[in-house]
Amino acid sequence: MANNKRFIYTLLIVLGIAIVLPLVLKARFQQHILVLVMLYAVLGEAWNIMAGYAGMVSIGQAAFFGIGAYVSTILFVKFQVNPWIGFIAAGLVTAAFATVIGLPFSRLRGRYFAIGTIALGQMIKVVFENWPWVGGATGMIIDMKKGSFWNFQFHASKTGYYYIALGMLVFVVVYIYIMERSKMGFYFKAIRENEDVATGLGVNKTKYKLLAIAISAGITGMCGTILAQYQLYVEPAYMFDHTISVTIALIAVFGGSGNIIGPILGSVILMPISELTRAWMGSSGSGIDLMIYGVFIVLMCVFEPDGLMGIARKAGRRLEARREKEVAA
Amino acid sequence: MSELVVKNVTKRFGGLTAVNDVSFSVKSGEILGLIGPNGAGKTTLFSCLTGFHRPDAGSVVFEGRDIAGWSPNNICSIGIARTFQVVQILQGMTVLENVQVGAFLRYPGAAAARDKAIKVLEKVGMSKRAPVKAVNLTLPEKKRLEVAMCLATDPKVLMLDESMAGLTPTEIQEATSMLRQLREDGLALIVVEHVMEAIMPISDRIMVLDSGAKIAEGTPREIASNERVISAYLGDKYVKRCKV
Repeated sequence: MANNKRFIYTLLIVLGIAIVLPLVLKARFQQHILVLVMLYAVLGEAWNIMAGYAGMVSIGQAAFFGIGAYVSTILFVKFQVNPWIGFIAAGLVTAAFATVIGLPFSRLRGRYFAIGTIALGQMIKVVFENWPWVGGATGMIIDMKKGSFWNFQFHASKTGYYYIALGMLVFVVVYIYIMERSKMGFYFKAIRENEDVATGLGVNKTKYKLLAIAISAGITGMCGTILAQYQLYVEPAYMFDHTISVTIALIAVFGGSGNIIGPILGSVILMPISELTRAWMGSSGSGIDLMIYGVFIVLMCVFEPDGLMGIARKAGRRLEARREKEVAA
Repeated sequence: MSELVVKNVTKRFGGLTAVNDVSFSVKSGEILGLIGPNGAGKTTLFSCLTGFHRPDAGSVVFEGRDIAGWSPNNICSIGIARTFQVVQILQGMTVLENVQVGAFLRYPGAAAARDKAIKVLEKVGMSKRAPVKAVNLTLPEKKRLEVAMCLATDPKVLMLDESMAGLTPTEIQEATSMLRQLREDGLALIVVEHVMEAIMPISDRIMVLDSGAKIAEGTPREIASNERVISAYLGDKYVKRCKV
């Protein structure tokens, strides 16, 4: 219980820092990184629900992300619906889509599920590239409106997007915190550990798998809306980019999946590295930024498959052991 | 008082008939031993009764409903639980969490499920191991945990698939006294076992399978002297030699 309290206090302190950060880092590029860090933290957590907890490793999150981006954009461009309503609609439509897709997908196990999601991501992209009503391969441009919270557009400063993503992150973290301790969280983990045991103990695995997929997809879709509003345009090559799917999975695995903090940590460390190396070296065209990024991932996989959280846990244990030794001495 | 009535259950895998026209029944407060040589179809029969296989023919009636072909989770929720021959637990979770997963079936609240899990662990004598990760348990402990997970779902019928294989004589003693306790609690138990000194003394009745078919059923004493059973286990030659 004391541990729980300490955990919550730490989270609150981190939240405080996160709120103040954009007031310190004011340069446009810095704020761009902040928005991405926040956005990918949410995306990583969404992936975490599905893969880290329920054990369904997805490498096709871009499908949900892009659909979310398109839903709000279509509503706004074609029907002049406020992006905030589009934001909610993006979550609902993506979750509904994921539930339908999830029916056949939930029968796939392990690596076959992962391969299936890769295919899904590619197929959805092709569909949108060849759909004239939504602009085909050129996509759609979101008209500039007066920058305000109500219009979901911020021009002078990017902090608006940052705070919206931060709000979502808080919401998702609170949700996972509650889920982890509830029947749903236990059932997700049971399915991850052993499907046969889970069903043998009365877990309706199809229902819980669909729940995990739908929740994860819904959150991912809403993130799609945030990026669409941030860029003020959507196009299939960008919104359904396979890199998005891979980055989401990498962030969560790098930070440590199956716990609340991992994806946030992963995003805080990996996104700046990825953006900074891209800014410094990406223009050379040699792809060195991606190489550096890759080296980090490889090192992590080799030395600590549990991610940064694994390292933190080990360090914590060592500290505790040392403290005990001191007490004993 | 609940009773599980199995009638003419058959399961084929291609040309092989793994379970052939098996009928039996078991009621609460009773231990039914299920024995037979390797490949006799004991585990397949279990799987047919618990929804992991769909029987090709026959009926499985429990409390007035034919549950043949139901999904495992639905069968579990009406009160039939099983363990697996090769121990199946949630390796990455703690002992307590493993049992909690089972407890959530009847107790949806986290606190209630936890209380139930703690109670079940006490019953099987594993309270001290509650915070240990399941993967770190010894084999006998894992088997006991598997039983605890089933018990947490408050079953009326419990099927144990070789829960005592690989245990030492003392551990077998502990296990059998636990089974006797469960019988007194009013559970119906179906126990698959190769360890004869474990199953003979506790079973009320014993059923023998050979090549998928039921070849004998009776009290342990009857079974021990049944010619067909002896020939299934030891071969016809042995029976003939005994007669001479």
